Amino acid sequence: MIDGVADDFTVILAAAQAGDDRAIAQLFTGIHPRLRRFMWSAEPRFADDLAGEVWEAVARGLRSFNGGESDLRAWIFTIARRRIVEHRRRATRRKTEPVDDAFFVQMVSNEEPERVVVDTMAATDIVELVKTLLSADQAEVVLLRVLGDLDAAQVAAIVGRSENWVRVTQHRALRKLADRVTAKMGVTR
Amino acid sequence: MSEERDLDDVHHYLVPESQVDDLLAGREVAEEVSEGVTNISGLFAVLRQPPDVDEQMSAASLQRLVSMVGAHPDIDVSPRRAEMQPRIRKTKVTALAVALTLCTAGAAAAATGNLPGPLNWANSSGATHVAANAADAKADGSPSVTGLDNALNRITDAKTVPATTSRSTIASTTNPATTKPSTTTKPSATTDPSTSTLGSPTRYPPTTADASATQTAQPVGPDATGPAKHGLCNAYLDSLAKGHPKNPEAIAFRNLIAAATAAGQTVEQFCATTSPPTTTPPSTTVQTTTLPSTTEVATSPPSSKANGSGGNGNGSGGSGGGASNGAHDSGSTASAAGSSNGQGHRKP
Repeated sequence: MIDGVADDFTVILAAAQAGDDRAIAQLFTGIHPRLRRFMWSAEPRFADDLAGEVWEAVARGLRSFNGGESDLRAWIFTIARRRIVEHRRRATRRKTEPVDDAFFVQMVSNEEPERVVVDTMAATDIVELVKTLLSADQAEVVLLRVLGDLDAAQVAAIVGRSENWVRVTQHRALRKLADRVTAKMGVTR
Repeated sequence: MSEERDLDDVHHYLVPESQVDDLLAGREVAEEVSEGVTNISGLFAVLRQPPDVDEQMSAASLQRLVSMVGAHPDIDVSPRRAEMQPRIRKTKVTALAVALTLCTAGAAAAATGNLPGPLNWANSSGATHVAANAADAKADGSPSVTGLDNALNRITDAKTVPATTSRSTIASTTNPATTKPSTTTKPSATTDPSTSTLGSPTRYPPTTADASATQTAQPVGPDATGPAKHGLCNAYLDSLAKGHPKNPEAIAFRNLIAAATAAGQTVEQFCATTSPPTTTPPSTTVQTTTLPSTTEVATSPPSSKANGSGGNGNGSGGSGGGASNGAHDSGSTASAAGSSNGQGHRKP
């Protein structure tokens, strides 16, 4: 659920579509942190760039949007995933990308990801942990469900799979997370 | 990693199916849960925690997005379509420009008795190459910019300069020399609005994605009363004779029909006036309508005449591209028409 947006979503959406800056702020700022985390999970180095593209597309199409709060989130994360896919296609064509030294340091430090689980974990640490422990499909499904607050049917529509596939994938993902995290050391909040 | 292998190492902590949705949706799970479920719940709680300072959307970004919402009227366009439209449009315009260039080049060469068969092949290869360049130019991405502010700044800056999306801008600026039809098209429609007064037939139709930015940019097409008249008439009449009439909605032929109507004539009559006094009666077959142009070319410097027709053809190509998909088909048939014209000339 969007932070600060309760049952009066329809009213806020209508105001946002009319150009009310406070309503737009309420809609966008509530979703942005999770959107950015999702972008970061897929393309850490381009998270802000991609998020900017997503928000630009959302701003452009907001007036024609019609639906509830959950639909809005699903719409935004659909755009986000498409931007990620397109970005990867472009990157494939470019063939080479400059990489900072810190990137390799981070890779080395993730050889035993369970050790990252400590008392003071940031959301990006969890994202990184999920990415490392799960397969790409599993991580995407879990992150879409958790960060996007989307149900299985919405995630299925976004990733272009059946709802059943999503349910099976998420179940396997949770079992793997439970096993690996708990067996190693447990998690403290 | 296969999913079957994933199952090999997950035997210790099973998550009941009834708790999966609760876990993922952030709802309270049942009190009697395994340690694994508790740990996962802790992980997901961190994922949902309030944002850090650097994760929040800044006021500047928000203000920019607010202006974007206000700047765009009700446009029902999916993000995918908006993304693809500049590329599709650019490819279409390029292909149509080259196709119609071939059309008029074929007519001109036919008039001089030289059918450009190999040249046609070379030109169509060039068209494919240019179109590919136009599409691939988008691949040149921009460098990474950290921060949502900078990203939005870059996006909006790129959109305010031309009336198209940023990627089409990149495409048009990165291939200035190779994509000749494209570069003659894009600047006139985007960066220099004053060229619209020149009657330049190089406009393309605004798509829904950039409709708001190009509401005043309408395709003008070639001037059917000017030097383009000869080429337009050739293409139009020959297509009629071949039983594949041109799309009357295409801007070029719409101009031709309008010019003929304004003169109180049919198109055939109007086109007949392009010929010397020895012209045959209008509304006849290909032979009768194309013969005069043969004599006209014969009495004038051949090379300069042919070049002139080619230039006009380029103009028609641009406008045809701006007209519609149907114009694309017209361009293709027009090219064939040019060749058949030439054969007709050589027989007598």
